[in-house]
Amino acid sequence: MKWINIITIGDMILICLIIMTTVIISIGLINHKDQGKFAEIEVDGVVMHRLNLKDSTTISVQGLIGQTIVQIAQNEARVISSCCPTEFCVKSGSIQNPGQMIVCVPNRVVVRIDGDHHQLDVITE
Amino acid sequence: MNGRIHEMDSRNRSLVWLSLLITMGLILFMFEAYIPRPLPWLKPGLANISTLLALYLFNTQAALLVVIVRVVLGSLLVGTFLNPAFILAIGGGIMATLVMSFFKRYFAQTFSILGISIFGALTHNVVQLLLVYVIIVKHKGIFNLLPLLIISALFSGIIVAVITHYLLAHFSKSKGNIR
Repeated sequence: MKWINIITIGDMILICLIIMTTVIISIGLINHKDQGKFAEIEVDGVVMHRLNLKDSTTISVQGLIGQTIVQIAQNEARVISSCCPTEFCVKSGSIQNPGQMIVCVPNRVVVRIDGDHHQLDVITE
Repeated sequence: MNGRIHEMDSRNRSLVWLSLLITMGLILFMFEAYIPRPLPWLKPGLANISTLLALYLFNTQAALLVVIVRVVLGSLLVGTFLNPAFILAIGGGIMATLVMSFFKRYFAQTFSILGISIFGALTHNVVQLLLVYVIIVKHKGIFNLLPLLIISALFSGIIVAVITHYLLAHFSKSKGNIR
């Protein structure tokens, strides 16, 4: 018997369901990518804030030893002032690409750009 | 006395059949590695033919035996025994076999060998993706691969089912009393 003759209605429904599921998930994924990029602010490994890069805000974060002020403007995030002695986080400048981060070690604050689409594989500094 | 000889004969026959099915699965597994493919893990899963044959010619236990022995021997041949790839292969293989035997037992009227094979391929891919998430990557981004894996399971399920269908027709002529 040819294989095409053994196909049951259940098989056909299953195949149609699979194709539909694939299409729906794919469309969902494509739409999801337009959500934009987020800046995640972590204190001591815990995500405290998650801000959209499109919104311009300034936020003050209580770290281990004091305040760190993070500014988000023009799709970029940067630390504008910090209580730490070296202020490496302020000197890091602004970040905008997914995967980039600003780290303030004394205050245990990490600002990281989170996005669905990584244009870069890896960033070394 | 005659009955005991007949029983022994039948056991020997099934031993030979299972060994042949395992060997067939191993050869297909090795052969598959030489087919060019766009992504290293996107395989047609031809070795599943031997599992499906064991399930249809024998029973669930035989199919599980075939898949476990095939994966262990295959991993020894390509040198991945007990590493993450082996865990993925054996996890996917066992779950796929269990799901296929479930659908074959309870939904034999609803689904033909085509549907059962697609279910097997689907389970195999989804379980492997979950295992990759749990063991290796631990990043939600890998679930973006889900549509690709589902659609590839559809195609590999159909290919495996069609080949197994013709092999079954051939074997059921020649097998005689294999039980």
